[in-house]
Amino acid sequence: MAGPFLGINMSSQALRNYQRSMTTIGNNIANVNTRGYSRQTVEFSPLPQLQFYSGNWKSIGQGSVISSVNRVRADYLEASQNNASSQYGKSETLSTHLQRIEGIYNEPSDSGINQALDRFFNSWSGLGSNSGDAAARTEVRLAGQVLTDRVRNRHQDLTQLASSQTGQINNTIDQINGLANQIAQLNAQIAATVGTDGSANDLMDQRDLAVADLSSLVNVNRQVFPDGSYAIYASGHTLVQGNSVRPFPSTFDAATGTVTDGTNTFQVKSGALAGHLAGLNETNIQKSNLDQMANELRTQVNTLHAAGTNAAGDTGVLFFNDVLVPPQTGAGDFSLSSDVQGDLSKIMTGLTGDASDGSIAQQLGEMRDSVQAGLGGKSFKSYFGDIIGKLTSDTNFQVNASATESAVLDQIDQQRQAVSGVSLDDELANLVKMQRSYQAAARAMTVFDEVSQDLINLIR
Amino acid sequence: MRISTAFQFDNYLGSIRTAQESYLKVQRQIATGKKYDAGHEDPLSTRLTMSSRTLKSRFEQFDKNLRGVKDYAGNGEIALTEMGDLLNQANVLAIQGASSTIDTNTAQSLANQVSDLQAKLIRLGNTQGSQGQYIFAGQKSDIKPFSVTGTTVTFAGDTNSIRAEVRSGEYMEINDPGVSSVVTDIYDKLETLKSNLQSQNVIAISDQSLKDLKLMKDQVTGLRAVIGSRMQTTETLTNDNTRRIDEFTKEISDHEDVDLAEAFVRYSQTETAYTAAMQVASKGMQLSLMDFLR
Repeated sequence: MAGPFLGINMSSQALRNYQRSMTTIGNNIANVNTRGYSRQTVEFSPLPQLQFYSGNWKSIGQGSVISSVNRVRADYLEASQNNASSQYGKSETLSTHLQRIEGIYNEPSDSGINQALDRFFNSWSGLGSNSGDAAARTEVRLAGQVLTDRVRNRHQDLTQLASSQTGQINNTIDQINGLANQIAQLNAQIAATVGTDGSANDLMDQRDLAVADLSSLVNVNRQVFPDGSYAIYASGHTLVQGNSVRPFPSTFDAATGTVTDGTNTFQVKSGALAGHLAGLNETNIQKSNLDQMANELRTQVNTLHAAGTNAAGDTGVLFFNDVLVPPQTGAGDFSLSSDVQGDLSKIMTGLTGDASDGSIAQQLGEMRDSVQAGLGGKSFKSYFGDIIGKLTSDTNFQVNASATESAVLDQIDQQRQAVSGVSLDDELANLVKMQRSYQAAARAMTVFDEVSQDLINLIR
Repeated sequence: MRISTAFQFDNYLGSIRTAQESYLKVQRQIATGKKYDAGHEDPLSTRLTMSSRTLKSRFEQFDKNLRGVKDYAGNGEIALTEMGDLLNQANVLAIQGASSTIDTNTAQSLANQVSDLQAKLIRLGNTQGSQGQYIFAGQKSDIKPFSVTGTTVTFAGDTNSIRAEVRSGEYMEINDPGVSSVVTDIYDKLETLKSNLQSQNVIAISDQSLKDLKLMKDQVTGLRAVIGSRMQTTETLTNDNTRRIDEFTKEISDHEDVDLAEAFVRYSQTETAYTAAMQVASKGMQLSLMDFLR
């Protein structure tokens, strides 16, 4: 049997429900710009019906109750978004590194190594063709100076780049560990909240955001446990399990793109970390390319040059500085020998020392096209040309890949936002709906109030 | 599909950014005249440009090398022409000396003139190029090649040839090693003529010296012909170089430089796209259900 105040109870329950509903909508609107926020919806369900007998058994409804406040989420999109963000993180980072290397070489231009090599060999051809000319001699020394300066400076820039890249790798690993701690803490908080029958929507949003941020740094696998906590595997390394964190290995090898904790080695497949590792590897490759070229220039030019005799009868003079016995010292200290630096007449043009004997200089000029076994059967020019050719092609590929992956990421984000993003228009419409419902419930309450007053007034 | 507010605004910004990027790229192309800033924007052109630049600089060097050739040939030509004139003068003196009517004083004066010619010959043999190099000294171009002790001439140079690179690995001889022996010969013949004049040996002058001078003249002419043909080759090579350098310049420009007419068309295209993106965004941003609720 329905009590006399059932209607009032029901209406006041409804008023509370609509008020909470409007608060939720207000919360959605307030969080329209919050990163990682999922819109929340209030789900209503009817209260158990009240049975009464009126000829036979019948039942009437007792109003509604808020059954849940849900966050609207598409899990499968989230996983693919995290994956795409890892891919994008890698290609974007790597393309930035490659463009920096490209910037260091600055080819083609009048201030690059290519032009310096041309000028160097041409100056020898000039001296060989007019070996008595003091100006041609000066030009050889100047061209040698420019060549060694440029090779050395590029090498220096690359060394600096490598150290900044190493710093970035360490930073990224720190960030990974920071996010791991955050996820572990959230795991614990969420487990505690869910355990006391509470709803942890905002915490779960924060945790998913942390996982998304982590995905852009390193390739991540996520496992969800029945208690709602996540296990996170970064590049195969168990990073987070429940509320415990195992720090990401900090020993890395750029050449193979792996990290190791001493016992296990993990391949970093994607994410910014993979991009940084590949970038550092490319920088190191370029450094050793320059080393190889500098050493080969030393060996080949010095061997020929040392065979020459100048007017004063000097022989065995080196053109580039060199240590007496191998190992040679690469591009880092590539420079002219102090002999050539200090005395123009120490530049050898021929075998006899006669003023117009240009035989050595001519051979040095012709070296521009001769293949060097030490450069894999390429000439100096084609060796360097191939370095730039490969670098620009690789950069081109990565820049395009990063543009494509950015588009993929945008598309997935669009789909994900279609599900969980806040739309102000939607919220406003819902707000109006709830407002009207509230007004109606208030109106109903007034009626119930009047009715119960009538009832009270009856008994006099 | 639901469109979230954040996505809507991201989308506006995204399309404005894309349009802005292409707009600025064309702007930059027009401002710099270059198709691209960084090699990765066109790896193939980068590679081609690098080799074109290399080849261009190489031909520019060959062109410079030819200047040395021209220096030697030009100065050599002048010296040999003067040697020819000198032989003509000697010939005149010899003919005068071959006449039996001259007296001792005249003969002596003729002999003195021959001496002057000998001195001039040595000067010509020691001709220097534009950088002070002795052009008839062979590879020992920094040493004065001809000197006279008493009646004999000494040659201090050598007969090695000097070569200039005029094409990759191809050389051209730029000096005339044959001149040194001819100079010595002429000097000796003039010496003989001089003593014949002094001794008024008319028969020796007409039988021997005139014949000798003729022979020398032929040799000088032969050497001049060699220089002449070398100058012609040099001219051909220079023209060829200029043509090749122009070709490479054009090639580099084709790879690197922007086609301005096309760029301007794209400029207005991208400007339109940019304006359109901003217009669409500004309209869309203003729309809200709020304006229709009261």
